[in-house]
Amino acid sequence: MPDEPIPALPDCMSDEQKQRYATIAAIARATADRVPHATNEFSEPAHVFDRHREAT
Amino acid sequence: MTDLTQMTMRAASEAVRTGQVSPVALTEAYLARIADVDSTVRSYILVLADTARAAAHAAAAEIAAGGWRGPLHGLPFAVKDNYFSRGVRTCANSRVLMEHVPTFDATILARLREAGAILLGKLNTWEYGTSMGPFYDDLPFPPARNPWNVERITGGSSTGAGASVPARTALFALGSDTGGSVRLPAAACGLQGLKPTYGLVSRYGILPNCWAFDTAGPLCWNVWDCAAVLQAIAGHDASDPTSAGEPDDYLSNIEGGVEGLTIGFVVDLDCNGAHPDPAILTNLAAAAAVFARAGATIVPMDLPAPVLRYRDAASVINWSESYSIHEHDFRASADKMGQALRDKMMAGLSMKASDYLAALRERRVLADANAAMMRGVDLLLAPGAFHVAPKFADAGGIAAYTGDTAMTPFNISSHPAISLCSGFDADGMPTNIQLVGQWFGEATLLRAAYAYEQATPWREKFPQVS
Repeated sequence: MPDEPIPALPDCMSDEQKQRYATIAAIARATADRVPHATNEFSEPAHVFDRHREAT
Repeated sequence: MTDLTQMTMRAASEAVRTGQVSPVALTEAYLARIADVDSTVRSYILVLADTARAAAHAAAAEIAAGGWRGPLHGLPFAVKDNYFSRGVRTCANSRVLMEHVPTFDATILARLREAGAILLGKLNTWEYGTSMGPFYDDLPFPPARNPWNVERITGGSSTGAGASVPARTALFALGSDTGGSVRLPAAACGLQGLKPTYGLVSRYGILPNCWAFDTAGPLCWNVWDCAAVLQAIAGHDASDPTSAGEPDDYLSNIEGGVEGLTIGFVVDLDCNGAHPDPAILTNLAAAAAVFARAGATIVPMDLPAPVLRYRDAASVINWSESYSIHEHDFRASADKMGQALRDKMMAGLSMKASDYLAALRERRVLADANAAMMRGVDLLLAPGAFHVAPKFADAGGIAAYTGDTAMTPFNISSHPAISLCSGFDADGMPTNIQLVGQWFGEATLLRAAYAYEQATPWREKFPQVS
């Protein structure tokens, strides 16, 4: 993630712990980028999934 | 029988009901077993011997007076240590929560106490129910060990629940499942582990991991046990905003068989190049044959999308929600967290609002696809965990074990699913199958699982822990 700033990490974290951020964030970003971001605008988010309630 | 912990739950329930076995004797047998073997399997974080004894005496007196409450009355059990327990530390194996003493019971725990069950203690877990793949031995309580081979992991995150029942340190156990955390330890430890339909069982009072997927369910030796526990814990809870529906009757027709049911059979899964172990595939095919012989129609099927697509959406949702849940703790106490949880917090920190919403929209697409798939069948038979439990020393194997599963798709779509022991590999480690039901179709799911269990010999073999 060379073009994005590293967010402020908690002061209580050691430098060694903070250094893991770049690796972890790169993996997380790659995952998020695989999720389609340009879907049908009528496709709404399903947070707490509700369609199962149709069965009740 | 001299050791009461060797009784099945159904037999113990009947013996307690008829007065042949006292809840006091049963509880003492489990406490003795814990004293004997739990330093080896480490299923517990906290044993509540005194309160268990008091509850057992109360149950014995009540039953003797004709006040038998039902199948769980007087039976010793344990819960994962992310279940709030009134007046008892609930730390979820985190240094952040070592002083955390809830003032109320999780709804499930309250319902089990109301059913007369005897709480033995709080079970081991990965910190806050978290895994990022690799295993780090850096938590306040050392990891639970697999009773089938203590050099191997239990799966997780309900590690102690997985270890306790086969080690006979609890008659039944409760875990929580966000992406497989009931089914994965059940698979690793040769148990039957049920993730109910999202909304059927209250999550109120269970330390949240990811609101969108969190469910709670039993890990038991037998399917009947899962049904009896579900009967006690299912049903609407006004304290849980996702709570939906009222329970069915899970026990009265459990012996009804599978004649006339149509079961979709999923073998070929695209899981980023990973494939189930040969023993797991062999035993999965054998399970399909068992169902066919019992009268079910088996229909080959494919999942509507690659497993990785479900996992990607689930990961983004889980990281984002988990960061929101634990942001304060991360800011104040990240140094107290284990590396897996700290890594998860940093993954959540790197997510954007648009990532989270894209993943929630993807969830609806995938869930609708699953629902369409399920409309053509009564049940689905599929692999669960792709591998048997690896050794603690096998870092790559552990990452593969937690990653290579077909469990997340049914957290995405909220369908109920049960992991069932399907036999053993050449090293004597349990293999597993996964059976998936319709939304709120637990009665049929458990009926089919029971039929499979009755037609196979896998419940006759027990691990030897000393």
